[in-house]
Amino acid sequence: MIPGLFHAMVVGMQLSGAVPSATTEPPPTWHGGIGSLVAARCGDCHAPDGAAPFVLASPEDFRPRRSFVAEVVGNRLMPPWLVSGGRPVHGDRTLPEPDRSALLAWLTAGCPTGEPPAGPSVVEEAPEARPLDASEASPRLHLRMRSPWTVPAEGGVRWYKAERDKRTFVLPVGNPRPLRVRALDYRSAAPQTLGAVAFSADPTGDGRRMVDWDEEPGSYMMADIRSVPAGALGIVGPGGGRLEYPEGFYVPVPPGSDILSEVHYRPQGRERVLDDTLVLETLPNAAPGRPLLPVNLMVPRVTLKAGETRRYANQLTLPVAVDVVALTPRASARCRALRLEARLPEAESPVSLLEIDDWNPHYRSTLVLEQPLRLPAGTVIRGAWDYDNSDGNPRNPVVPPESIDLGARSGAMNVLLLSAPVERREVRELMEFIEVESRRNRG
Amino acid sequence: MWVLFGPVLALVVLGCRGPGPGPSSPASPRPVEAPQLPAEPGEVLAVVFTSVDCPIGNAMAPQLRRTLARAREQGVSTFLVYPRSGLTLDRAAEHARDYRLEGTILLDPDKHLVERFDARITPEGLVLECLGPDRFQVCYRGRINDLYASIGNRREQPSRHDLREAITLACQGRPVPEPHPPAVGCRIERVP
Ligand code: HEC
Repeated sequence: MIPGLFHAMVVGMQLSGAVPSATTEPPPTWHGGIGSLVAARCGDCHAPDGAAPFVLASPEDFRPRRSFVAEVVGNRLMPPWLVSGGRPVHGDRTLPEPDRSALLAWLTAGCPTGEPPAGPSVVEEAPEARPLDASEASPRLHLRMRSPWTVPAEGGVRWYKAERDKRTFVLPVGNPRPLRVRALDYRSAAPQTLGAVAFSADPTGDGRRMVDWDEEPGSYMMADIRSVPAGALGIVGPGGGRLEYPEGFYVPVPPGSDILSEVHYRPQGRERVLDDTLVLETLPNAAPGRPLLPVNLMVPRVTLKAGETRRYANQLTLPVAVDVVALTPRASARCRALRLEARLPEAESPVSLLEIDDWNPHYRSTLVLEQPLRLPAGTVIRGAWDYDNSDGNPRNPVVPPESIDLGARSGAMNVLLLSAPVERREVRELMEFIEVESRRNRG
Repeated sequence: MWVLFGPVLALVVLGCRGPGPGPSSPASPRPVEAPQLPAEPGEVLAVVFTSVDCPIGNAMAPQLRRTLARAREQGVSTFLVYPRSGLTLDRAAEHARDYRLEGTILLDPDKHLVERFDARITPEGLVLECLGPDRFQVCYRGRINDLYASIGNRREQPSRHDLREAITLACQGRPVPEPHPPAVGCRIERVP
């Protein structure tokens, strides 16, 4: 992403062995590399109609807030990215240190524009939202909320009670045949109000009944339906966006399904209307592909006194060999950190799958592994979640802290391991295992 | 230059303990050159430094709206100062309207008020008592409430409404206990 010029500058600094400093090096410029850095690192969200509250696409956008941006970037609050270790995942937003210091140097220098390059532009523009593949091979389904819903201006009884900063909507599909979904693209009419949006398929009609029971569009309840956890098809965010599974894998949607979208929102100080659409990109049923099933490692309940901190842990043993393709973590705002590891049969030490040192539910999403990870039958998956219900936790949603007792059918905290059995004939066995695990955990 | 408009001039002469004017809807933007905060000796002013696109300030807007409305009922003049250079009065007025914030809108692109009252953040609230022509005692300078513990860390609900309490104390002629909790939000760019 870094154009040659800018790269050369950074490398030059390193070669000279000098600490990069504004006094010895000319500051970087917008046209000299910062423009493309910003397009690549901030542009997806800080765009018109993006998830972020303001546009960052030119030096003029930065200048009137440059020390604020420097504070936020310097404190590593932006770009938002949860993963601090484990397996490499797609779309890693970690800002490399040379980029961070270049951006900070540019902000300190007053956001110089520099000379626009002569001739063909070397500045990469912000990538356009990738058009979905419209080929016959991948039919697309456009689903829309049945009716718009207004996000209230502020929290209150309608918001966040028992951490219910969420609302579940039904997007009817009515597919006569099973669907194989290989990508999801959620387009919100009010992306700035949204954190994570979790999708699952509901062939039972329970979701519809739950929603019809509520006076307003949608339901305040979670999208867990029987043993299918909310987010089983994947989670996108913040603000919606696109999630694509690797070639050869799909998430299955049974016939006659509704898609449930569990939308996590934050009141923005004024009312905002959600009138959102979901595009499902599917594979033909005849195409080769392997189904991804949500192996759910969960802790069903969290019970903490005010001020209490506690580590929760659980484990499961894989009944069949699988390829783990994606990980979807869930925990509430009182969770500070989580770890997921796999202990292979007869292995000396565990493999770290996912490490999040600074958990923030607002920024959670499905994490697609760069390489699917093959785990043999008998592998033990172990997860640990550190909860902190003290007022020393800046993300504790309630001050002074209150005792909590929260449960969810698919786990007050969990990680969904989207996994494809290595042997086709073991799909059923894995499905049964998921059912049994779900019942066991619910006790 | 800073610019003044709003429900405005009728309020300017009212002291804190005077009869409170009912909330009036902002008139159409009418820029007025004004070198100083208009106030009479003894009058209490609530001044909020704010911004059109700070997510932290906007998230607090509903509580701020109630605080300002209540202040006006107490006879306090309320001001919304927008320090962002290049911001138009129309845009500021639109913001105040969208978030239903009532107060005289002041644009401060050259940071006169920012410098004078050492404002650092939007949103940041000041409670001033007018001592004489263009002389003010700062009774409070700090956060609106504790909705945010820090940037990125938002609570469910604010549990402390510091600006509201400071206004009430100032109206009673009582000191606002120190330290005043610092504002959390979007840092103001001092150099235009
Ligand atoms: C994945 C989307 C995303 C990316 C990428 C991103 N931001 Fe943000 N940014 C957001 C969202 C969402 C908010 C609003 C946060 C809130 O309301 O709590 C935000 C807020 C901010 C803020 C205000 C501080 C705050 O927490 O409200 C600054 C400054 C900022 N971003 C700078 C940047 C910069 C600079 C980059 C690139 C280096 C960047 N962001 C990349 C989504 C993003």
